[in-house]
Amino acid sequence: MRCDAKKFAQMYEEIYKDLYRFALCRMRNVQDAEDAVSESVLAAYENIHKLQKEAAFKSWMFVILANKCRKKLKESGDRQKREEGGLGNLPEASKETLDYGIALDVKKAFLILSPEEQEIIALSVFGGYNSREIGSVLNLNPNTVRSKRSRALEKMEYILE
Amino acid sequence: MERREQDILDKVEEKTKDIQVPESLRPEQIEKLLEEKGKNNKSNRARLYRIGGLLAACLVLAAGIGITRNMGKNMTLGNTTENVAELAEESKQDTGGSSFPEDVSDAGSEEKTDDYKKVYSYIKAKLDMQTREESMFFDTAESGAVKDAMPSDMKKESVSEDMAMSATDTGGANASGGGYSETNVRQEGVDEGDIVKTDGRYLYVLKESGEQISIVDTKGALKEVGKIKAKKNRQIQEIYVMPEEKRLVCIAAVYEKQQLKKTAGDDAEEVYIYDEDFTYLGNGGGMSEKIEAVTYEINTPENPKKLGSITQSGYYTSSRLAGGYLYLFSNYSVGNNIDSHKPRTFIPMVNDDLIREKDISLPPFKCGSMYEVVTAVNLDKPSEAADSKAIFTDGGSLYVSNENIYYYETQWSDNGDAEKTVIRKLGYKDGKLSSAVQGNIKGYINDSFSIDEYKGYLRIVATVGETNSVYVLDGKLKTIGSIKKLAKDERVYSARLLGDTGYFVTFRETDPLFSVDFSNPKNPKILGKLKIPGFSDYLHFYGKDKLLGIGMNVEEDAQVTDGVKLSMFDISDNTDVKEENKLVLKNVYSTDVSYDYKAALIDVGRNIIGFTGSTGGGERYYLFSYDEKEGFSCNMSEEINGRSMRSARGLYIGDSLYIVCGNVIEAYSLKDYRKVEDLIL
Repeated sequence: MRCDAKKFAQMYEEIYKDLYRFALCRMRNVQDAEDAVSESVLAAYENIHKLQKEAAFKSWMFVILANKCRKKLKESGDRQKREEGGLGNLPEASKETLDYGIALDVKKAFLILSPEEQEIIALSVFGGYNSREIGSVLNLNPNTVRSKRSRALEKMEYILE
Repeated sequence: MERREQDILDKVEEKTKDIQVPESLRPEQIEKLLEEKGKNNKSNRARLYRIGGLLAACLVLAAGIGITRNMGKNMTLGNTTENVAELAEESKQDTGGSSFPEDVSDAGSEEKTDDYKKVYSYIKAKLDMQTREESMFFDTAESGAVKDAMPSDMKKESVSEDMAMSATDTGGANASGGGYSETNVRQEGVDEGDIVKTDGRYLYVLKESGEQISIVDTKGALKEVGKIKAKKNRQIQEIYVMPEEKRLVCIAAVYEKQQLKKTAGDDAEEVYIYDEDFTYLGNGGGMSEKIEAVTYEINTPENPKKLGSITQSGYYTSSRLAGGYLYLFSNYSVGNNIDSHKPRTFIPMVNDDLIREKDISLPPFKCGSMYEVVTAVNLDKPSEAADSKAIFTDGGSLYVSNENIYYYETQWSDNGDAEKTVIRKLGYKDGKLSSAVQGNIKGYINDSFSIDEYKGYLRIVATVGETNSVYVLDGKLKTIGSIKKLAKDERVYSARLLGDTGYFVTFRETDPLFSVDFSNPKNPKILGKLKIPGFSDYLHFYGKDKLLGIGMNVEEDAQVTDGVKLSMFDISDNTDVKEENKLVLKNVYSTDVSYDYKAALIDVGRNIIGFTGSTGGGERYYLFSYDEKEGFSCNMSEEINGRSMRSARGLYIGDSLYIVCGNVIEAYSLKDYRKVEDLIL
């Protein structure tokens, strides 16, 4: 579709809070979540001509963001290795204060989950998607999504206050 | 979804709804950012970006949203289940009884080009049904969504010959060398792939990128001495190491680099899958076109030699190694554009060969569009399939006993009716796979520890709606014994069965550990139950008369988990099981063992219990020993310095413990538990 910055911002306005909340639940801190969203926005804008229908904007953004988060989490693992060049410096790194930007029990409840479960739950809550739609995003079949979601929620239940 | 589940989702929503979005992400700021971006955008265009598979997923997703938003529950699984029931009825008449799925081998069909007629008709039925659902809400232009432009260079359809493999019995699977640890597996004698393996001297580590296996010599100082690099567009999923045979098997997902897709619509444009965006998602994730198992000879680990490779359609679900044969499992979904004259558009392939129709178990209902594919590979001939089978499925899980492969899938219902689990059994022996037998039970199965074969009987612990059941099925998967309505309002958290006795944990407020006597398969009996706070979600027999439970402690008043809990149960009298000792790790709020048994390092002989735990300060590795009188002793609690999307692994060789997480290996002495060295790959 054709889309200028203004139009994009309008579509974005509808969903940006959900996008940010999604990122907060997936990333390690506020800064990383912010980066993930803004980088996703840039990537999406650059490719907006490939989007066929405005109606698909929201799910398209979530797919891009989910991939972006995954990629950034992976990169931060790699970067840690490069920057520190040795484990001797690590205690320094772990002292960084983690500002989750989110209630501690919610963060804990997400941390207990596998990365895939995190995505399933975050897409359920912030995207409002059902198992079939999540299945399309994550390339899982709906039954698998349902079992995984069910298992994930059981785990979360006892951590949420 | 159950109400309770919805409540939890609502709670997360409630607790996050007031979050302040940073200034830089506000729509006004974004608009400014994009305007500036627009000015110097040209230079960035050269970089092809993502999309393709993603876009396809989006469009399907968009369709899905329309459906559910408009129709509510009716259009989703509830309805599917109805169809299923109807069609199942029909199918019964066809086959005269409950012996479906029909195995076409009975029909004795010859291999001709139109061999796959029946399979085609089933898939067509499924795709038509999906299209009907979608087109109810979209005009045709949209419902066409994405059309697969299948590669037009259709080679001639090769028909696989029956490969007579010399059935060499190599005896049991890799016997334990004793001096080093092996992957914690579900079934003794059936090895499973993992991300780290050892042969007693070298560590074979899957690097975080998924593109390489590092071979690290532990003799002297840790040193990377060799590596195996995946070919382009491959993500290694798991590896096997066979220390005696000097073999290494590397299983990778193969992604199509630029899978050309044409989108329906006026400006049919080309979009691309950009592989760097498909990073590891765990089993079942990703969108690989096929999987590849490459076998190496590792007489000199510094210099692995490739012996051969085999590919199979679909994405990787799992694998097993038994008796010198590798069993590869993948899940293959049929695309939207199928052509009855081109079996390659709807039949899974092994190497360049189509799976024969007689090796395909048709679905119990007259439609289906997804297969679970299994291929046996003799590792002495690693480029050939010893045998292959495919079964239609909607997606399920695996349990592999020493003789059979069980594939179970739950059919969920949205309307509150009890769900049903369909179980398919394929025999395997020396690379030969036998036809599927099918049965079903009410309820769903927690994980593969809740399903167990012994003396030809299959014992299952299942959660049925608000209660739980125990079933015993015979060799034909007919239920011959059961206990129903156990532990109301609770569900199964873990189970472990050994010989005639089984144990399982259900949980709601306290943790009843049930013991079951299966000695008379027709009449299983509950022997006792023990109520304690918290729950175990992993059970492991720990020497004679001991059962180890790893799980969570639950603070009884608040009903909130307050730490990982270790329990040791005395099962010497299985009618009166006791919690002999316990230890709660306060502030450790989860362990990977809860959902990944391969993350556990448990060695009864050496009295080692090791696993990772998440704390506020990050991931730590814990090592315990156990003594009847002293209880659990925590010998080690060390920060894990690696970072990984996958769980960390602990392995030992002799008196050294290696903790591998991502690209970081840390070595500790098992004598004084001090850190010895580390290596970054």
